[in-house]
Amino acid sequence: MADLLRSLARWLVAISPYALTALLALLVVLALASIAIVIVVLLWWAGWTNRHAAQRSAAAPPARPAAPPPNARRRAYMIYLSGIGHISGEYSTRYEDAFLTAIAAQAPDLAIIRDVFPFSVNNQGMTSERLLGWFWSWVNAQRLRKGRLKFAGDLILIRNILYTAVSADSRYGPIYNYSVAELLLHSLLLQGYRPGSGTPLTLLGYSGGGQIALATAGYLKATLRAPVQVISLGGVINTSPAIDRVDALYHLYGTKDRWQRFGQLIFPGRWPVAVWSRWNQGLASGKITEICTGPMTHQGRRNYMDATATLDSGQSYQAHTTEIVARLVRQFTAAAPGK
Amino acid sequence: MSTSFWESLWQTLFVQGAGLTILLAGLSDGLGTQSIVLLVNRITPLRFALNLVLSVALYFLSALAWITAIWLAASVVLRDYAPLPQVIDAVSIAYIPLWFSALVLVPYLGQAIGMLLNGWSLALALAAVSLVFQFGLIEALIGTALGWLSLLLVRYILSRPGDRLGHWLWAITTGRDTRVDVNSLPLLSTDMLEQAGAQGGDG
Repeated sequence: MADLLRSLARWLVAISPYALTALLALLVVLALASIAIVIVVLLWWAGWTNRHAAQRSAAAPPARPAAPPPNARRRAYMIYLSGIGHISGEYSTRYEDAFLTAIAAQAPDLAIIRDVFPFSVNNQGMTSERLLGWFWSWVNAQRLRKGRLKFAGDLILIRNILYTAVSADSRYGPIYNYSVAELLLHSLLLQGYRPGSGTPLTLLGYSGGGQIALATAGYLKATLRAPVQVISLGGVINTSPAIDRVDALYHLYGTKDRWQRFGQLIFPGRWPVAVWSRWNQGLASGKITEICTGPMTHQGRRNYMDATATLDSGQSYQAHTTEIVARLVRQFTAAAPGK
Repeated sequence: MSTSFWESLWQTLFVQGAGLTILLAGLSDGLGTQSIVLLVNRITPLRFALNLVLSVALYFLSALAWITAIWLAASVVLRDYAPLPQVIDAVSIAYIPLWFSALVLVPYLGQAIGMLLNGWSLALALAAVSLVFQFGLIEALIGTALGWLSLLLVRYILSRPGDRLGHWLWAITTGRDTRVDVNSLPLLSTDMLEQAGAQGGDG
């Protein structure tokens, strides 16, 4: 045993320079990738990369099965912003399809919009990117194939986490969030929303989509002049000036969701000691409500939308989450003035 | 001042590389901080380059002013003497960590990285001052802090003309009279509302 430990120690000493070099290289690559994303966003905003053409291309998002006919008059609207595993506005998982269909069944007057990709400044899917589209297509193919290179799919998560970090940054996050809010507004209008009508809007954001849902909500609220609430589903979510503007924020979390806990850790405004942060002030005033959904995980099996995993009561995770979201939407719609 | 002083200063800044060290830090700082302000304000590429060159020049001058203030504080208050070019040569080393100031662009963590780099730079400046003046740590700290405070005082005295100058420089390099405040962005575009509303029907 002692020999084995000595050998292990010798091996660790021998490997450490390489391990350190690899770690350093990884950090450098991550830093460069994150800076590249910031530069893409800033150049797009500045109009150096044909901003108006991009807006026009986003003007006609493809129709989705869960979306209502454009001219249908709805009592309420909900925009769903996907998690960090997505590659485009058209992409969805079987969990999400079933989950959103279940919500639509419980709230028939609700128009659900889900065609905006929140991790892009112009609603362009990752596989459609001019420079790296081919690369993301390859990564996604490996992920779906579930072969030896399936771990490459984690690059999609890393990219979208970096976009979430851009949204959470106080220096250029506002322009990113403003740009995504423009896309959301566009999609709402295409689905028949009338600004000034007072029709209530719910933004449902899963994972990193929760951060972007909250950060865009303030701009939508000001422009639509309507009640706006945000529901974060395991959201990795920072405190934001939008908390002052929205009518309500519900943060749904599972006790086994490590990613949402990571959000609590990484954003100091959510630390309990930051009593004057918007987040903690919102919790104290009742504007923010945290709802525990049970022993749910962030992704994979036993996630919030898993229809096969069940609670002690026998209700499936998906049914439970659906019930909470649909109830919050119904309550919000009923409380909206003139609705 | 004697010709040998200017020669020595020239040698330090442009032959021994102290000037290049500071200029690289200024360029990196300009890319990390000034570029955000410029691009948020939708400045054209040409004006962006113009403003960046100007910000690097101002960074260079303010670095020299800070080092000169340290030199004056050490000479006048702490009554120790070392030639200014020698102080510039030593303290310019403190600008090496700031070559990485562009990392401030990293989303969310960038500002913390900036603070770390500045802390590292300050530690190097203290070490350099204590080495050149043969000071202990406390005296080096006093000399550096006095230099910094005197610079703040000068900036305070000159704040009004400084603001006017800053505004004028911003206006001539960017072609904009005001700056966009990211926390006060306007309502979402009504042009787009009308265009998309026409496509989407009346609801």
